[in-house]
Amino acid sequence: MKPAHLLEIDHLRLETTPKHGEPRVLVDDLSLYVDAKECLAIVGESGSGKTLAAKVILNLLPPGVRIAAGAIRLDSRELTGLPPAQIRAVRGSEVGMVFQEPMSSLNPALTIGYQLFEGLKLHRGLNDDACREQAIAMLNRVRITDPERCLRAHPHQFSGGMRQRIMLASVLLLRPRLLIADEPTTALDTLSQREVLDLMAELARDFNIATLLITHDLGLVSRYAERVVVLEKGVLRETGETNSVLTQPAHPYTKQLVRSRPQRRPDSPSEQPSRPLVLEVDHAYISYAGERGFFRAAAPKQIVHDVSFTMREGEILALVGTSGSGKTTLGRAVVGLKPLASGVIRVAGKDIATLTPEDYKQFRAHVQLVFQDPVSSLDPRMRIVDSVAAPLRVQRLSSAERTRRAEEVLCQVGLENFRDRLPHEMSGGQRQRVAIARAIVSRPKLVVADEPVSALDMTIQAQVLALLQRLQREYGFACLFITHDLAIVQQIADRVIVMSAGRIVEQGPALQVLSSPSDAYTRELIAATPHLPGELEPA
Amino acid sequence: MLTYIARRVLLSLPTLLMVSVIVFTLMRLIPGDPAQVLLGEDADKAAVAAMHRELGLDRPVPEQYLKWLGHAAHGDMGESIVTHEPVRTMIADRFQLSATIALISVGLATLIAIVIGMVAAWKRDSTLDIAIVSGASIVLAVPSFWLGMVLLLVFGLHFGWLPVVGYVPFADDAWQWALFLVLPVVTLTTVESGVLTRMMRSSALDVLKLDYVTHARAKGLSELRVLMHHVFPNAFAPTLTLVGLALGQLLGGIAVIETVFTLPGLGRLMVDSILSRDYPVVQGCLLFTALAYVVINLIVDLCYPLFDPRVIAA
Amino acid sequence: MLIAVCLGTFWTPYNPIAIDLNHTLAPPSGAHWLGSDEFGRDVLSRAMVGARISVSIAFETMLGVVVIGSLFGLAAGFLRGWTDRILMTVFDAILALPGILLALALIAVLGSGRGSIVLALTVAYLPAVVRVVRSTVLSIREREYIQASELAGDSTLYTMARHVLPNALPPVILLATSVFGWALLSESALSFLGVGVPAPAPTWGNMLSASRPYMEHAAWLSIVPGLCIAFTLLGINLFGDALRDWLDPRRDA
Repeated sequence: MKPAHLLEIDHLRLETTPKHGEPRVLVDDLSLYVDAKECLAIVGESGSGKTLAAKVILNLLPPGVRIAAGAIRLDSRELTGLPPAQIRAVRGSEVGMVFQEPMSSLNPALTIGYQLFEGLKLHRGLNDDACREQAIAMLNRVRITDPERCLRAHPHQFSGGMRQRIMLASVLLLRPRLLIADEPTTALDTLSQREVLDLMAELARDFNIATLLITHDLGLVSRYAERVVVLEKGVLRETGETNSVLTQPAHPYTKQLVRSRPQRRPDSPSEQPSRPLVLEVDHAYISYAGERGFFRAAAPKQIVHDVSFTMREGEILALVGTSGSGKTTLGRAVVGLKPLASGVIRVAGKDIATLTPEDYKQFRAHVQLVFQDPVSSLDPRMRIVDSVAAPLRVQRLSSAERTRRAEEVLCQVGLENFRDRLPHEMSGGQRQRVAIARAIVSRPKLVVADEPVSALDMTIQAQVLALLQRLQREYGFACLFITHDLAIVQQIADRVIVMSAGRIVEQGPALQVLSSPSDAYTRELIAATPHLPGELEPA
Repeated sequence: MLTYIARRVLLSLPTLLMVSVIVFTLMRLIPGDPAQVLLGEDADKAAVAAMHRELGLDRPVPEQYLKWLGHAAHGDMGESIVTHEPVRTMIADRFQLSATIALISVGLATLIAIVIGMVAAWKRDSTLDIAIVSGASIVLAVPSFWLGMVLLLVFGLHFGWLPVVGYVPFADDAWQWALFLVLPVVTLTTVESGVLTRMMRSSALDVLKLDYVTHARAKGLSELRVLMHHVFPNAFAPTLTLVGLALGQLLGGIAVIETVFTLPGLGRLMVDSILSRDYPVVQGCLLFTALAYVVINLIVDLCYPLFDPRVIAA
Repeated sequence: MLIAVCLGTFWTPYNPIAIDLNHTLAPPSGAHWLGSDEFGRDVLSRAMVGARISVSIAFETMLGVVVIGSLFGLAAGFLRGWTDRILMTVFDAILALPGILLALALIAVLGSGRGSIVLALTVAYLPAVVRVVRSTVLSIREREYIQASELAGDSTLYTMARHVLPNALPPVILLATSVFGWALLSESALSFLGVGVPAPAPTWGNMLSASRPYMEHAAWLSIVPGLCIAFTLLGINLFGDALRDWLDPRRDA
């Protein structure tokens, strides 16, 4: 007889419970299983139901959602329909859960120690000393330095990566048999992501814990999960061994997901005839005024340290780094939103710090920025045609002419029917296309794109990237593309600059840097980037 | 921690200074000549001029201000024009009573608000929640002085259980003193609990949506524990600010209650002295209440880190 | 919520009616629906006139506070630096003086009468609005569409007017309803204390005050004005709540 699976979900159906109208189906006929010692990944985009599937196991559904049909079994024991007291006994001690947002998953008002001890005292009935002993041992295991002090501290004193490790410690203290990890590293930068996930895999092996990994990143699935389940809009599309599903997907949706991964450029960029410089950055230093007391100014913090590079017309330069590397700030400085502490930035030959009013208007027409967050970069009260037309105000055009050009650009991004809509009526991908339209409406020479696709779903990401590339070819603007994702760099960049802690660590032609990096940091970054078999390998 | 305290204290100084300027200016703007008031309508010019010199009113205004400020810093706020008592003793006497009522009422209101606010948030959209919210809304709409009068009407006059007029100091007869305080305290508690409950409920609702609450539940903790240890400390912080504000506003607003229940408190002193143009008393009261307000808020700010440790770093 | 909005329009109708008659202290009856007061004046009519006076005072106060407060809050929040510090010190100082007392003092300075009441109450409630507007503006300022506005070459003034102000309005509108309620309450309290609009003009506050000596025998005199205040305030609050719910999910993401 086949041994029972550790976790079994059987024909699960989740519906909303609206006060009026028909209930909506969120998850339909989902069946999956997890065996001991293995890692199963549930992969899908937003709206796929993957998070709900994870939460339902411990009956942590948000209000307004209920189990309409199906069963969930842990070691052949029925979990659905258990009375609250019994499900509480399962929570934590048999099934542990790690959440996505490290910033909000630990209670800011309580000490770390208190939060770590809680579960132990509840499920194992240990006293303070025993708790402390175990907690310190586990904190050491997750490589937190100075665990004693950590116990007394509060969550806000730690970085995102550290908080996730503390969360891991907290969950593993109770030695659960199944660990559910809901997008545990989405909010972390590439290097921290690698650290935390490697740690999780290691601990799962050592403590004999099965893992259910919820993610949207196929690269992570490929690296950490033996088996995978693909969800789309609440329905299971494909499942099987990771390797075979990802290299030879059977279902069209899976194929689409795999195709949406940034592809390596088919050709190497042809040698560009020497074109005029559009941007020169000369020994730029940017600092951030530190905390001020009432009477004293605090020491400024250096964010960007002696950065120099140039850009020619029409080229795509990728600016890569993790959070805190200074890449975003540098991007802001290039468009004139952040002043330099010292050094010069020249656009089309003119120093942007000393522009005459006429030149300033030209500058604003020549340089534009696409923001990362599609939600907050558009004025929620303006129709998108007006938002797109706004940058044209600085040129002396009539209102009718401005509107006409805005509509023209909206056509190019495929949103001509949306001209009168408001931002909240549109999806993330559509909003980002509006942002791109706004950036190119004044026919700029340089577009700075600050992580423009990081907040989007995989398939949308691919679409928007393709759009950006097409527009770049047609309009011929230079593009400073800021990102942390090396896979995207591989797809679109001519040259790349790698930054760390405010300094340039390496720069050069993209293909060269990615295939034979000369700097250790770059190598680390490349190794840490989750990729599918076949990607990111030397040519 | 110490820098946090020092910074808060330092920040309140300019405010206090500004308060003193405003108070002083206001007093100078009140029409009427204090010297004239003191001496009566038909005093002759010479006597008035002499009085001006005596009161220091003939010196340039900024000098008068500094002199007054200097005195006030030492606690000397002059004498009442009407009764010739030193202003500070008058304030000190009355303050005890007002403060007691205010503190007890706000304290009780806070406790009530915490409990029913959190319960309402926890059982969101249930009948209990709707009842609590409606109750709070109704209470918010009722003017305190009217509620006081109605309570007086019912319990004092109609049933005769509680005394209606007057006041007996604690030192004389503790039991009687307590009886006299019951109605005002009940009135004030009811009124304050309305706004505090709503605030508590709304911030508890916000907290309940956050990840760490789900995480706490995922650890297997009971709902009660989750509410008390995880939700409450985080939800209470904004309400605490409101409590501070309420106490501060009550310093003046209590005048109304004191009028209804004829209690000799600070608010009543303030109103009477304005009506009788007793300037030193008015100035003293204003300055004192402003100082009390700043101190209260300082205390609130100092308690804040207990519930939200993040502010120390900010 | 529709019900709440309907209830919210429970406002006593305005009717100027003569206020001097001959029957004193009569309990509610056919001739006088709500009875008559110590001078024989019809309580109902007085309540109605009082409504008009109190409500109009509250309304004007609200208008003044919102307009002036928004301007100051906008300036403080957006321009920051010394403008911000000075403005906030001034307003914090005003806040430190309890509302009623400040209003009393201001009235003593300005003399009693309708205009000074409105002015006094406006000053007393200004800090609250300024704070709220300022903090809203502070958070809007960080939003990227403000930076986008700068990128488009807009002047600071233009950005403030076109982008910041319209987005800052919803919380202000909400606050306006609260201010209206507070102003109404304060006006009543002031008249109750004897410093409001002078007699014989009736306001709910001074009607309540005048009823105190007669509480034992003519209870209705105390009950009626208070009920008026309570109902109006309840209506305002419900209206404000409905307004908030309506604004919330539809607007700003």
